[in-house]
Amino acid sequence: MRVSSYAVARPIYYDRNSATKGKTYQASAVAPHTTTTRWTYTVPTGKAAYVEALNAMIYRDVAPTVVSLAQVIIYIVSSDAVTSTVLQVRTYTSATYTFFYGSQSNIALLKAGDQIYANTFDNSTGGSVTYTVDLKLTEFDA
Amino acid sequence: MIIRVAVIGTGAERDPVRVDLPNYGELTADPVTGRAFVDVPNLDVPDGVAAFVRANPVTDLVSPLPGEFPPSLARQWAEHLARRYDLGTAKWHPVVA
Repeated sequence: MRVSSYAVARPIYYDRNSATKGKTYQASAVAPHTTTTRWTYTVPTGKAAYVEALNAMIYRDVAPTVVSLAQVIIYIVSSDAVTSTVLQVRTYTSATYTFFYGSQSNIALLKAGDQIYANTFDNSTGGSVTYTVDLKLTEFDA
Repeated sequence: MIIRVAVIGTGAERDPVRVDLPNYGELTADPVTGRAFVDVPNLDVPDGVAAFVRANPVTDLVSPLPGEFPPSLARQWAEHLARRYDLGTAKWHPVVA
């Protein structure tokens, strides 16, 4: 007599109706500005998401007349309103074409209602900055 | 789909200038007119809103909308997002602008 279980292992996350999602913001010659959200992603109801890659880069393409902080910041806000910064790239130089990079990989598992934001900010006077902010994640059935 | 929408927020650290949507990517924005072109997942746009956007094309961030965005479509969009993202709480209220 053969005995077997009817229990079936749940498929691994990438086999549960997974879909690749990406966000990107790439802009040159951006003038000084207050904190601005360039993209955001929210996990839909019934889904979860695995954040696999984040990338950010900034450099000044025109020197400011008065230098101050310019930055890219990526942060997660959970569905219960807990905020976690996951990547921040800053410059406080007026030198042009000095590149500042940052990246993260395999950093977070997000649940329904969790959000991820990419904000930029430049408090200088005059001049401009080039920004690149990218996200890659896999969304799947929770 | 690409939609021109109104931006919200003061620009403070906890109140960034942003588009009132749960899922978007900014293509370009104009802080003076308070409008932005954003790329929104098709699943986030109800049929009525998509039809309105197609029927009222805009090519820049300055020109007025050819037609007024009806409050009924704004409500429809908010309810659609509430069902899809936050279990019925109407957190987002985007407006075609």
